[in-house]
Amino acid sequence: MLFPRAFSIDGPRRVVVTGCGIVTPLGLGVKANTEGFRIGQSAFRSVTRFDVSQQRVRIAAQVDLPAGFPKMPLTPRQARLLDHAGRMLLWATQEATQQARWNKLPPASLVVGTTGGGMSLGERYYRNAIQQPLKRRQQPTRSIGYQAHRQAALVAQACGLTGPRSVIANACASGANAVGHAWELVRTGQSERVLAAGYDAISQLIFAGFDSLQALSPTRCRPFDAHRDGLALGEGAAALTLETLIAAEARGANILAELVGYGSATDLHHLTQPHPSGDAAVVTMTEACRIAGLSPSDIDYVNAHGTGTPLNDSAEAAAITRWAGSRARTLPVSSTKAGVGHLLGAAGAVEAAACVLALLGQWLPPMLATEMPDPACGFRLITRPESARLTHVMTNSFGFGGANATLIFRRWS
Amino acid sequence: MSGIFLSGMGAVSPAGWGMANLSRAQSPSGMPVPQLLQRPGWAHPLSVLRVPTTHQRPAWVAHPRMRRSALISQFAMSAAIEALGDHTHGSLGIVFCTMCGCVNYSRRFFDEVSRNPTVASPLLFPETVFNAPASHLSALLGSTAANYTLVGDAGVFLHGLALAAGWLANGRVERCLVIAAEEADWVVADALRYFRKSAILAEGAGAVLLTRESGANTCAELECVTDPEPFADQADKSARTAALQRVVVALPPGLAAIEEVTQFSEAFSVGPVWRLLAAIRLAQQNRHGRVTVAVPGAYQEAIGASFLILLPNTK
Repeated sequence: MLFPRAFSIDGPRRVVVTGCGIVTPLGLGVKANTEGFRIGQSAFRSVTRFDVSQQRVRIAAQVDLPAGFPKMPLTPRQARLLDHAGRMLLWATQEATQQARWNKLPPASLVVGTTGGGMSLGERYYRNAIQQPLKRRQQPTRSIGYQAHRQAALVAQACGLTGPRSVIANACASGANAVGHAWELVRTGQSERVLAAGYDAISQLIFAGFDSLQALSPTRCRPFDAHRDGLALGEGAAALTLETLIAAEARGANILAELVGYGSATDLHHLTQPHPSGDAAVVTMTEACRIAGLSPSDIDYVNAHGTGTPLNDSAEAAAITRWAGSRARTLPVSSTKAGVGHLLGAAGAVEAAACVLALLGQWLPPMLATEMPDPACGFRLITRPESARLTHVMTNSFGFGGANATLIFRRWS
Repeated sequence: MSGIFLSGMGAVSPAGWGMANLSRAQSPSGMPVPQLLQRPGWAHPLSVLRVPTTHQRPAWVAHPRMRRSALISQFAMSAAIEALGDHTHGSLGIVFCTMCGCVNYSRRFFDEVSRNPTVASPLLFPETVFNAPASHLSALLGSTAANYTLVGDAGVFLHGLALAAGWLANGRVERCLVIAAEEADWVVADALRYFRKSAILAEGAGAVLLTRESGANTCAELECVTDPEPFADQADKSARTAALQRVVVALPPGLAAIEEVTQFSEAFSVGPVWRLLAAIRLAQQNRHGRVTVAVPGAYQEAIGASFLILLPNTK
């Protein structure tokens, strides 16, 4: 039964990450992204997927995928239902489940976060419906394929996941909420194993939407810089396999990290703007630490939401400074959006994956474009590649609608 | 006994605003009449079942968040407030469920982008996001607690029930609203014709308030939400029927949610909610002990749920 579930009678269970898959503008897979995040590589270029000639801003971080598909049990006809976004999700989930060696285990659940799903198919549907209203060809396929839960169903089938599937659409916190919700399911004993993922592709509607809000940077994305002037959009996907520590050890799995804390809260200030003092962010960071049994002094690095917009970064700076207290002055903070842009519904999952990679490699992801730190940042901004001793790392995600989420990972040794 | 109680219900449907109108839709005289919706490029309009406009303006309509909000947000708000009733104490979680989301503003915004992106309205874009209705709900109800938007097909509301019940059982919140809502637009009515030519698109919302403690408004206890039963191919009707049958077998015997409310229409995530709410009302009147609902989702899974009706002498 989905409810009531047999909750763990021995209290919360420890949850570990045993597989990681990632697709970003830095490249396909863990290897390319580890190196890209470590050195602070930037992946922005002119948008080629749709016409941006009339937009105020014309750059973003795009993903180039191989022409084919990973080896999987989908028919070519089913695979063709996936647009660019769905294919990024497919590559990421395949990498994670293969790394975790989940192929011969009992059914697992899937929790996916996204904002746009297969939006590019929806756009094609609309254009065809307007421009050729009597032409039906491919319209049914587009109307199905654009829906996120249809894409999730196909990806679950491709990964052999036959358990319950959920699609969380909490705007730009979707990916973090997906990972956090998956963690709750495993931690409380409601699920044995959950694949958590986030994905989103750049689409014309979303690009034009952020441009209409004048939220896109006309220069370059510089999180926490005093002269920052907006965000840059990106696209990608990431997936983490979560399971109990007991189960992972019993099957001899390679443990990458432990997920020890998750907090979520809702900022009521405005549909698109955070409360200037970042109250909800303070709540999520505090809650995640409380659950993990940690204090700010135990956190070795914060992967900030850090979009590069004046409002987000000032609110998050205020929140981190207030939450961290005396730890703030020496606390390393950076935003990986400096290199790959804002990945929307994928951001939380990709940044969670980046934290896992940083824990494994013991480095801090730098923001090379940030040259003049905003004086409001009462913490140590990472602007050059650095090695570090990392035990606990935190990642923040905030979204439209006031969706706020924080995750904490612990190094596995 | 799960200890998760249904302590409020709310609905907005083509039959009107409120549960009373939903109940009246069971009788022939209460059946809503389809309206016509212009479809660009076609000579003939599409038939849809719209929520009737109301001349009563509840106070929440004047809230700054609601002034530019899409119809889907207003449907969700009305149903949620009706379900909440006078239950004002305790932290409040929100689980908003939808399939198509804010499709009207999305279509309008993309239309503007397609014509000339330099003048596309920044007022429309934020309302196109799936979680905009849920965000407005939290803002108006003053709740900073957990707020999730789930996207799925006809079974998504039952997933939402399970999620909310899990939050309540874990102590994450003390109350939780679970809402499903959809709004009609020609672009959705157009797409529906490819799959069910005789079905008429309907819009509206349904909501329940789940609580950990029973109270004066408690009418049922959530008994179970089944595991989703997957089937490999959505086009395989026999596989779909078999999955639905597995769900029915997993449910305890009870009064099946009545079909009349939506047999003529397709309201995606909301249809099963209307059926469930109407059946619970009917079960209360007829002193049935249990209501079950089984939903064959469009995308490769079926799911069901069961409620134990709490009659006055069993509360």
